[in-house]
Amino acid sequence: MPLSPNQVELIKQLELATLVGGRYEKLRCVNASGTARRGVLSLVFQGYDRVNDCLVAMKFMDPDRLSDAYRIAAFEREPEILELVEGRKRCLQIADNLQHYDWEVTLPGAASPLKFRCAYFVTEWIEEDIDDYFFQQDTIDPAEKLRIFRDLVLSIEAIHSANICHRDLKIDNVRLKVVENEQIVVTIDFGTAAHHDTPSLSSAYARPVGASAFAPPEAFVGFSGDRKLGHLADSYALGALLFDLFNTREFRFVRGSETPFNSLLAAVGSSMAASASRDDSLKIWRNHVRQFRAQSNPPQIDGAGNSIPPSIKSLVNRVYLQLANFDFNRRTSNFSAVRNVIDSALRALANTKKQAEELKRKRRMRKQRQDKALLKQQKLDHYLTNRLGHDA
Amino acid sequence: MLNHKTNLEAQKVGIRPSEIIVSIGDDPNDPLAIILPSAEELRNLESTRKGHVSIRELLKGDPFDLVRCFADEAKNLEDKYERFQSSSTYLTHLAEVKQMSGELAEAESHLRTALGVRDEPFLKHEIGSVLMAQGKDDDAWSAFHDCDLEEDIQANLRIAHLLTRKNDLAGAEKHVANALRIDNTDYRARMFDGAIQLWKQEWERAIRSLRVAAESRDTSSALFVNLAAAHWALGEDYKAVRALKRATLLDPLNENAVLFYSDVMFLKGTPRACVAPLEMILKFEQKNEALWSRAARAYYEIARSDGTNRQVYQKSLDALKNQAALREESGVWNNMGVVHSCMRQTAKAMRYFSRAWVKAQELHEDEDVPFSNLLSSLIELRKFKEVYELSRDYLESKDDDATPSRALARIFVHHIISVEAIGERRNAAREAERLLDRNLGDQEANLEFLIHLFYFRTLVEPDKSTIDKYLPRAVEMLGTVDGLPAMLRCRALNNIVFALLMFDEVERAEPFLSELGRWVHKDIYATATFGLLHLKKGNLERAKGLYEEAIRLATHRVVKGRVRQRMFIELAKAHVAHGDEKSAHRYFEKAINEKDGFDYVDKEARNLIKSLPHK
Repeated sequence: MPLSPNQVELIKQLELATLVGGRYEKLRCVNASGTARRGVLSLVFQGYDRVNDCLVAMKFMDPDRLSDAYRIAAFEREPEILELVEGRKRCLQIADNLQHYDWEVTLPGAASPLKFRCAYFVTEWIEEDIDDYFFQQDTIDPAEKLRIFRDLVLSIEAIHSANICHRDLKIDNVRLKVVENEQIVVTIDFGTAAHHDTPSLSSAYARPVGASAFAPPEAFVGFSGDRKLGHLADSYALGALLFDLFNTREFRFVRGSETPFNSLLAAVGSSMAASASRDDSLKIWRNHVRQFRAQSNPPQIDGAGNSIPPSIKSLVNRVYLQLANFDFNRRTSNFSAVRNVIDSALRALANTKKQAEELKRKRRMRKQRQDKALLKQQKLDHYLTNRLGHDA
Repeated sequence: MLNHKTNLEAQKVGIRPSEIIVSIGDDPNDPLAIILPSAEELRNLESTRKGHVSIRELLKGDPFDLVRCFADEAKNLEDKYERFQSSSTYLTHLAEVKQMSGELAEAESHLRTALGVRDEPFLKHEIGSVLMAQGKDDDAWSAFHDCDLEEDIQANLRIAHLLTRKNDLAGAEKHVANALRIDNTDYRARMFDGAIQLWKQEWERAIRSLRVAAESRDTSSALFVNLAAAHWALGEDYKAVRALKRATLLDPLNENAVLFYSDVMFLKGTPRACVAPLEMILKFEQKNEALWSRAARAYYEIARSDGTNRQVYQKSLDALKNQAALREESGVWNNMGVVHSCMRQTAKAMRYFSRAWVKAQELHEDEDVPFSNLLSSLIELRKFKEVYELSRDYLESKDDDATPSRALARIFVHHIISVEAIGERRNAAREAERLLDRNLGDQEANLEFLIHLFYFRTLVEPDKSTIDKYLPRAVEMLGTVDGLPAMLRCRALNNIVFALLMFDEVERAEPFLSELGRWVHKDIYATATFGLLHLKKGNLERAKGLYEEAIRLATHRVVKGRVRQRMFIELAKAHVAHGDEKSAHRYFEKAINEKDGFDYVDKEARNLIKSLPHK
């Protein structure tokens, strides 16, 4: 997305500012490079907090949307949600609540600059991403990948336990953090997160509220704002991330090219368009998805380009099918059960490793025995040849 | 009593929509015009055209804005290029996202880089697929050939796919065999092999391969469609139907499965079974005319079997309108005419048939069927003069030596009916005789000609020699032609018996009486003919009773009048034979006074009354 003049101006001003909010300095925009930016609602900066002597992430309201009530409400909701998870180990921590920055804009010919109040909030800065687990997956031990996935499940459980659903889980929104000498997974960017008890900002959502990367099917047909289904959107994203951890090919690509996902979505969506109420929509969804069940399986996780060790294939597949189910009514949100299966897979991997080592040891021993016997035989042959030669 | 015409019914009075009249030419003396369906009906078609939903079409328009999302995603991924440029997974992801955002050349380039990093067979497959998506089949061919064809199933199958696209199925078969040699139970290879065996008409082999494929993937709708095709070809109807039912349940959006299932159900005579899958798929795929045509046929056949179920006929009509909105062709307009005809909306039917005829001319399609139906509806509307003129011109334009189609044979029948109806009975009989001698090849039409000829040579201009000449042919046809419509058979038998009775050949009529007897008390003319039989046997009271029953069976005033007139004249003749001239005179008078009677009967009665001695 190209940067607008307002955004360029705000970035310039903030990066040149000596001190923001009386404590933050050395601001550097991290979601814009050159003339383009990532994200929809905000500009994200890395800054240095003089008070706590640490790096922080500062999220500023998009200057182009300062008069958009919906966007303002969505932006202001994020620090409120982060406050709800304050102190929780596996959750992103807020460093400073909603503040306002006086953005000065000098218009040509104007006597004095115009001032705009631009909202921002501050969270902890977590540097380490998990990209290597996905993009360098062939160099990483499967057990290590499973452990990361298990940690990711724990972090989502932590959010859900506060009645919050993230709704925009993707590789870029997962970070690694060390707490009390323990590496944990933390999800960032709560821009589209929602609390179960807060009302939707909009009455109807035709598209996913977050990026469509790992958005569940129901998010494309009008359920993306549904609070009761938000946690199941996270389940679906977890299934997709599990796929990507063990596959060179991308989940969305395989889903789009090898399953009739888009057709089913269009079919269900065209029927849902006429529904008048949530109950109606749920009924249509139930009826249609039942009829299309045989075709609605997610892409095979153990297809071409997968790297799942054979010993855990069935366990990983089981978890994956529970998480990435097309039908939210059949998708699991029981993460402790998911973790149990992952634990089983980890044990199976450990056993396989142990078995492989044992097998290797036995082979080595057998080889040693064979070599020893061969040597003995050679010695005997040598002796007999010499002895018989003498006798002759 | 003779029945020489198609059963005609009077048109009910109703509010006629204002039709659109399109003149064929500028000639003011040429009254012939084509009547289109009303503007309202045409508008309905137009509005239907706009309202069609099609999942396939919908997806072409990217309803979920995925292309833009993937383009954004590609930019995000490109930001990580420096860091992961040596990762084949990263490069594959980037290539796939590019592919999804439509940047195929870039996708290919990233895949080639990924392949340079890690030599994985599936990357070669991906490159081949991207090349195919770009239409570079030759390059794709090379990419797949770079794979180890001794070990790589997918590469073999992709090559087979490319060969199939070039119609080289023999070449494809070798690569499929190679894939099967690598893994005899591979689903994709078995599925492909099944398809090739179907093409070779090796049905049992196809079933074997498809069964093995079904072992590993029993949720493939396409697989069960193929399996059904093999079973159907082998005459294993039950298994074919079961496989098709499964295919439609597995994927209700599989057009091929639903169409095949519908066609099989029509052939099995159970159209009701295909209504649910058709209704289901038509919720989502409304731009497939074949589906609409099947739906229309299903409703039509159900309505016909249930009797005149107007609502179901209307559904059939709606389906046909949807079909016509997608593609205008003669057949669909003709079918609309047929449905209207079944709904007893003959005037509407006539307009649709005429539209179908014009369309057939425009598109150089078969004109005979809609034209024959047009004449049929005009006959029902009793517009005999129009039928005569239209059919005369149409038949004049036809090559006399060519073997006519079934529909053209029907047009000859309609022509004879019209010639007779406009009063030129002799010409009609002469034409019928000429066509019988020419032998059009259509036995139903030949039988119709015989019926007309018998009628004329029995009543209008009696000629026993003509009856004797053609009677063996009529009897042979009745004995050898299978599947004659019941009513046609009844009419033919009736006319034979009536002719023989009129020429006092009661004994020769005897062999036909038992079969004709089945229609007595049901069919007006058969009942009246049995009345005549009893007259010939001297049983006057019984004869009169049967004639009166025939009159009661008739629903139309004119038909009642004609049967009554025949009863009077035959009773008069019988009284003459018994020497009761007074009664004979009375009956002759009644025959003459019958307002709705035939002129030639009137004339005959007047002649006979003159021959009676005056008292």
